[in-house]
Amino acid sequence: MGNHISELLFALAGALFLASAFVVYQAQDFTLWHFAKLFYVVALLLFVKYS
Amino acid sequence: MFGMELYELFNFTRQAGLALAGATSLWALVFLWRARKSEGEKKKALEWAANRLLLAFSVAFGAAAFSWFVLWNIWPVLAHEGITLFPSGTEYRSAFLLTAPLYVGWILFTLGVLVCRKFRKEVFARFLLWFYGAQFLVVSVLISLYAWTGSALGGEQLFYYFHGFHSIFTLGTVLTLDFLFLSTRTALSLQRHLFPFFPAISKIIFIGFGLDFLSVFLVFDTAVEFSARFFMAQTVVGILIINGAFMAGPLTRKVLNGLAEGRLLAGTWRYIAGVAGAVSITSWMTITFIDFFPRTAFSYTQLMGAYASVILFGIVANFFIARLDERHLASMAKP
Repeated sequence: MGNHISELLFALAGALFLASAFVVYQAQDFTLWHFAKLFYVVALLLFVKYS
Repeated sequence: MFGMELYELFNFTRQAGLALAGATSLWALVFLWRARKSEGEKKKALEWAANRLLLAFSVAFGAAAFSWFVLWNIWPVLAHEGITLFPSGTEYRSAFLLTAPLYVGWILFTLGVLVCRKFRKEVFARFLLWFYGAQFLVVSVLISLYAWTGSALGGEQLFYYFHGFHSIFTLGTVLTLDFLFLSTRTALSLQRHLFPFFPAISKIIFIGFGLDFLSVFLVFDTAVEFSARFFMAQTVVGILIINGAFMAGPLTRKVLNGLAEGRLLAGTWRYIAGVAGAVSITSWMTITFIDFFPRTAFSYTQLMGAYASVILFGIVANFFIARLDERHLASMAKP
């Protein structure tokens, strides 16, 4: 169960990254982009531990 | 041409070559280390993989060494750049001069050892672990010092160390993984012993990515610009992470479950693996490629068009490889 959730979170980090790229390009706002990076690091830690 | 300089192209091929040389050395080292603690078929499979990786290492070494020689000849007339957001021509050139003695020593040593291997294979096999260990250390230094600001512990320089080194964990390791996958695609016994390493290898790839993400915070104020190239890189990163989650999760589970039951990946899953593999390798090559061409004149649509075309080509190539494998396995199964 833990591995599935961590994989989903990891995929979500990718989706967040894609979305943040569009926000950066359209609105030149890096807030979501920074959040996506931090979310990736947290998702990665969970992925490494549970997957 | 298209806002690209010739030296940038060879800088890219040198970096890609070093990434693969470093990654093959790292994973061959891991396989040989584990082989020492293994027995029987597993030991043989791990030793086979370490020896097989010498082929990929030699190609990578050739590409890096050739690119370095070309740069040696063309750089003096190209050192005129003054870009501040990316490593400037001057910073590239400073690193080039700083690492030149190490490059010369590395190229001569590696060439010498590879030539000697032709005549004394048994001796080479005995020192293979040390050979890969030395290669990993030297290549790590060379790849991390691709730009030199003059301040060893400055924020920008630390970013360059991480940004250079992470290619061993990311691009190089992805290429190594694909090389092992293609080399063992019809060999069940080899897959059974090598594929269980793949989840750990996938994690290293994404840890490498994480290192690069974190290092960007060191230079964020000066190193980010709004451009089609930047937008393209972020899009590909998003695709890479989603694709990576699929490959390291459901796909790897499917492969390992099949191997546990004595089956190779076949049918629809074999093709899905091919698509995911094509997306993965093209994406890693793309973000490394555009990294080395900061002034590219291509638009976002053009870059995405080229990216999608290469993926499509990879999928078609994989389709034919899968068909050939199926025929090969069918002919082997006939009495």
